[in-house]
Amino acid sequence: MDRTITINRRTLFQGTGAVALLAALAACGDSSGSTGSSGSGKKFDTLTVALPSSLTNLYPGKEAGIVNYFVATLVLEGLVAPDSNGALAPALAKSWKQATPTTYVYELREDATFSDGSPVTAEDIVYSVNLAKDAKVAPNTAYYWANVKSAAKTGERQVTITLSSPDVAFAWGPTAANAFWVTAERFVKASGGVAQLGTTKGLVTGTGPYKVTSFTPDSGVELEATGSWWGGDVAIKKVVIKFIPEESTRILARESGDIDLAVNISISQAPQWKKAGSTTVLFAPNRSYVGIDFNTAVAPFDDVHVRRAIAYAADRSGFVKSLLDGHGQPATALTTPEQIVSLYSDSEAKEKLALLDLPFDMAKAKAELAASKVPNGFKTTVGISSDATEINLAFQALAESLKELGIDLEIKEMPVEQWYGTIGSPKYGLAYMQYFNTTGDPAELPNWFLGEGNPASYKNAQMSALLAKATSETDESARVDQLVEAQRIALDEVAYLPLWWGEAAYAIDSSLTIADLGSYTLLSPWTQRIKSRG
Amino acid sequence: MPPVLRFVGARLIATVILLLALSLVVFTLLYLAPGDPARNLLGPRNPSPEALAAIRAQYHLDDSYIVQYLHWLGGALHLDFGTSVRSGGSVTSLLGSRAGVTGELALMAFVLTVVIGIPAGFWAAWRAGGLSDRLLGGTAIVGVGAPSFAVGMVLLYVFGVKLGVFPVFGLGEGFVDRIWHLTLPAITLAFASGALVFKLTRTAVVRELGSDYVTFARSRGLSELAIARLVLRNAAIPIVTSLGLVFAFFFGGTLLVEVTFALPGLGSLLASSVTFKDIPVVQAITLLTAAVIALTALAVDVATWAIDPRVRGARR
Repeated sequence: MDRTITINRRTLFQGTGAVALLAALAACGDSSGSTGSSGSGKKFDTLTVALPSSLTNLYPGKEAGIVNYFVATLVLEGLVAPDSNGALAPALAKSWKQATPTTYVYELREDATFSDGSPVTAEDIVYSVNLAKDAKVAPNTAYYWANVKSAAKTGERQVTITLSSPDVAFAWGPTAANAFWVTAERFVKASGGVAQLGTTKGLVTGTGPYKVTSFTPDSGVELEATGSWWGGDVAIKKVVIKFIPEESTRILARESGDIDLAVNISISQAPQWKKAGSTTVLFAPNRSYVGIDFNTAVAPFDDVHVRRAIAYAADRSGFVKSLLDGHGQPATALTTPEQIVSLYSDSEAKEKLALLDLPFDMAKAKAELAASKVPNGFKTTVGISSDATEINLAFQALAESLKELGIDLEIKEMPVEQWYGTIGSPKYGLAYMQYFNTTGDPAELPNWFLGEGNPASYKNAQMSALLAKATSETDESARVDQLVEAQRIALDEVAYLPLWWGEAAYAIDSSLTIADLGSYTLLSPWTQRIKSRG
Repeated sequence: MPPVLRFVGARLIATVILLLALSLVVFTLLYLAPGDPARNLLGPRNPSPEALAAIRAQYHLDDSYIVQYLHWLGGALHLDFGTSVRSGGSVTSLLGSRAGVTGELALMAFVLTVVIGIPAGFWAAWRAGGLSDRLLGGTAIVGVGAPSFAVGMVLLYVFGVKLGVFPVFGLGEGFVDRIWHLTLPAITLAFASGALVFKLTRTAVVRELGSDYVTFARSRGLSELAIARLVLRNAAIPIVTSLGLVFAFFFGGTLLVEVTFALPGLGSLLASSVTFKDIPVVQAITLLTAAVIALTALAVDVATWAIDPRVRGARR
């Protein structure tokens, strides 16, 4: 009602200049009080969430950003799903086993249905595997299925997936948190075929607790509880997801009560969020890795002394303390602790991954550089993605230290897409990686960074042998040991310099909280974990 | 053929040639820009050669420069602007869903600019040197100088959060709700353009008021209203020209406002598509924007032609 009044009043004042118009609006504001916000924070059956970037497609095979997964895991499910520790738990499969080193047998649960109420069949699973496996349909995840020879219905409610060669990491493949989303051929056909899958026209139909009711790229997605989810009733009946790229606008939206939860807010803005009134900021590790890659095939980074000099000049603890405000940890390995906490306690995990012992020490840095082929220093350039504020600051600090050694490090800011091109490029002997692990598999980053064609161009026969062994090792702790040893070899030679393991920050209405908040929380139907406080 | 039709026809042909040339230039620039769309699609993860090859084949990225351009042109001539590499959806439907928002925003801001900028400029010129003139002039200087995202943030804070009369972000549903949601963004856009139009109007009217014909009209005892009508007609040409510029600016310049208010318009789509090297989308948006600018310029010329008999005479 007061909306139309506002507009009518405004028209009265038109034509008297901008100042008068603003004054008129202010007057309207005074008379109608603060009735503009919907007060959605109070109604717990609807949750309004702000994402920092837009989705262009709802099928993560086609677009696999971190926020894509947050939305997808509410609508689509895989055969298995991570629990809060990152161990795999039942989803559409009630049980599964690795029958031989190359075959995985999944028993489907009987009570799972799609959002239209129709049951999930073994044929639907096989169809969905073939979708995710097709590089044309799912360019983002097809590589995960490259080693899969076939998926077949081997019983009324049984599906067997056969690999070409043993690979323990495959266990994470059929999760919606990584590379598998179950839908049915009839839904895909009815909404325009695979080309339209996940687009505004095609949307996605799955088996999760919610169905998509609307999707506008760069604006938002709306989800509604299906009421037929096998996992039971969900308290939050409607999830309204808004894409708000500008952080200041997101903070204002929280302040006005228009959003209840903002995910992946920037850590440097956390104080502003806390001031937004009735807002709590929560932090949790997010399995992210930030580190330097040295291209060991490019001079002068082919010299281990140069790499070590740079490592000693990097104040890794200082970065975490001052740039991340303590919300993170100095990294000592490629694998993050969260990827092995299903096997070890937190402290054991950190101890196991303590592979790098190069504390900030300028005297040692100078000594290392003096022993190198370029004792008087050199000039080099690093490309930094323009959205990586903390990383940019860290490199500026590093450049200051390096100046003392005579190394001139030029920082070149560039769009994120251009930064991809610096990874492993011979033009950038020194590059950085910010990697968000999708899975809880400790081999995820090592398989790339230590494998063939790695960005450091680093080769070591013993390391490769350990990595190969870990591929088929079914004893999980033995496998972690092999992966740790392989990393130790590369890190001893400083092919990589891990800088920090990051945390994600979430701003939430103070009347709510997220139970068991950890790095896996938003990767399985997570609205269940949003609880009313007190 | 009437001269006006001949004039419009020639201009339309020139516009088509311009668009064609522009499409080649934009395509070339993007083609030469660093980055690989296939790599961008995979993001910062291990790019398997097979996946890269599959994407490259799907979007014809391995074809030569000229073959890629001709492929695009062939589709564009049939009004098929291809498939967005980033979203996998058709460019036509992508643009269709975005152009509406930007168009409505531009139109609303345009209306605000006209109904505020011109009367205010007229008013100030009539009272040149007075208090209201100086107040309006001061506001206009702020309007021209203030960056739009800063204006947007101030408006959001005051009217969205503190007073709660306008929504902070998004689009809304239904006609009234949509207008309500677009009000703050439109004011933000119109603040700068309204100030510009105000200043041009004031200058033009002040100049006319000092003309001999106005002195003569006054001496003959014509009413102020009759004089105003004379002045308005004579001052119209620079004002109409500036309005054309303003509308063209709106269509390309809504980016910052769209990002600030989280509106799904063309500006935000263009920004993300350029860095992604999503060539089909960038091509379509630049051509659409160029066509709007060219048609606006044409409309301004036709309007000038209609307003000013001297121009009509010259063309004949």
